[in-house]
Amino acid sequence: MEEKRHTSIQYEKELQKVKDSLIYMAALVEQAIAKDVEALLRKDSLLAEKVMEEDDQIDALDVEIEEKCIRLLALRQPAARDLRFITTAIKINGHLERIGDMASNIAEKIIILNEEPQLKPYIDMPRMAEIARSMIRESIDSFVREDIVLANKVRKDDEIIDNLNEQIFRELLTYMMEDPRSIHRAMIITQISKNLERISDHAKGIADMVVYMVTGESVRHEEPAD
Amino acid sequence: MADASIITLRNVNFYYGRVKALTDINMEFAPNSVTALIGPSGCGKSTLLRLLNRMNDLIDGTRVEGEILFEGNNIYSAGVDPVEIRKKIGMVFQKPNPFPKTIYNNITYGPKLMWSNNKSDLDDLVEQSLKQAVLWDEVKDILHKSAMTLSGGQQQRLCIARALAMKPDVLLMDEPTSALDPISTAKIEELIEELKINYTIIIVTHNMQQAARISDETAFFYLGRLIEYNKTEKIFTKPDVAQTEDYITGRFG
Repeated sequence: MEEKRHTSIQYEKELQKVKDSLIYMAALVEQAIAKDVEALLRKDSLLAEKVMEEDDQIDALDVEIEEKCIRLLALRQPAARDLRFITTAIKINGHLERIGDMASNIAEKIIILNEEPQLKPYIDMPRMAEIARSMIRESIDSFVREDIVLANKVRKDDEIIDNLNEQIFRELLTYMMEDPRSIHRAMIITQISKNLERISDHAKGIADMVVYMVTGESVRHEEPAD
Repeated sequence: MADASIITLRNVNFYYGRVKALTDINMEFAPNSVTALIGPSGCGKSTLLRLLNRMNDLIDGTRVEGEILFEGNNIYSAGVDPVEIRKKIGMVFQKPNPFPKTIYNNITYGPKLMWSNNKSDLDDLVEQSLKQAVLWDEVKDILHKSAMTLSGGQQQRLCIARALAMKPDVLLMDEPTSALDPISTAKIEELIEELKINYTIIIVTHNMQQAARISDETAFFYLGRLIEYNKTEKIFTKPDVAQTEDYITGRFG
């Protein structure tokens, strides 16, 4: 979309700062998920602990971005595209913060899992994490570029993750039935998988908001079109 | 909206001498609604407002093309008395302009010329008009004091009461709060909301938030053209025309 500048350069800068902070925050949560996967595959509990610590930084950004947005609402009384941008930014901020929490939850589970012998080769979970990461990246790209085609792709990708989550659950069920000693580990893996599934829901939530920001239409409770 | 509109503009062009101030305006105003006219200075919004009760007649060298229908009749037809039009379509201006008379006489000046000298009728009219303009409680004990002793906000409400005393159908307001403080502005805005039950209100405002707060429909003008005419909520959340969006978000010029 052709971008005309505000008469007020300061206003323009403040809006840009919100955008920049969100891009930075998205990069942090994406990294957190990448570190989770690494901590799982290498049984690196120290790295998992680091993910948990670094969530503080994401939380701080959450507060900072929200304050910036509230300030803009109060002082600039934005309308039309600026209003849609700021309300979208507030929602994206919330989604990213929750994704950060989930990455931290996953790290916590990994530390427990690392104490015990590996139940099965980890194949589907890293795949799920990879798709979830690219969904976050693409949802933020679609926000920055105001690209609803990309946003709709993210909305559709959520289904792949849902299916993988179910597949993992079914597989673990057979492990648990065969050997009750596997139940504890299987439950933890299920929880990790569930967390990844929730992360993808949040990425979809971001993409939903991008569609709203660009078109003014709310699609949050609608299935993505093919 | 077609059948129900109280004022209809059809292909209206307007000229100040050789300068074309309005180009090809087509609009319909719904009764008992508030319409805000917005746009940058010189876009033609005040000119349009003044066209609706023939106030531009008072300026030499002006010319109107097209039709402006009030309740189906062209107000620019030959034989139409502009005074009759202005009775039906009242106006409130940017700066409060009470007559240098008592509060009471400000209200009764027009009605006395038009209809009646009966004191009890006039008393009733004064009370009724001041109540409608939410000024009665503040002035009921000082009706025979000069209107010039009132505050700016009170003066403006007096001017609204004065316009209402003529029992108009439409009230035109040209930036009625631009000279007022925020409290007086809030009172006038509150009043506009109430008046819409009985009147059709068309208001020119430079205050975008005011347009958003009080109007049902908003019309955006630029360089003498009507760019977008839409529900106010639509205009301020997702306008259909990019130019409107640029203007209301401050990306203009």
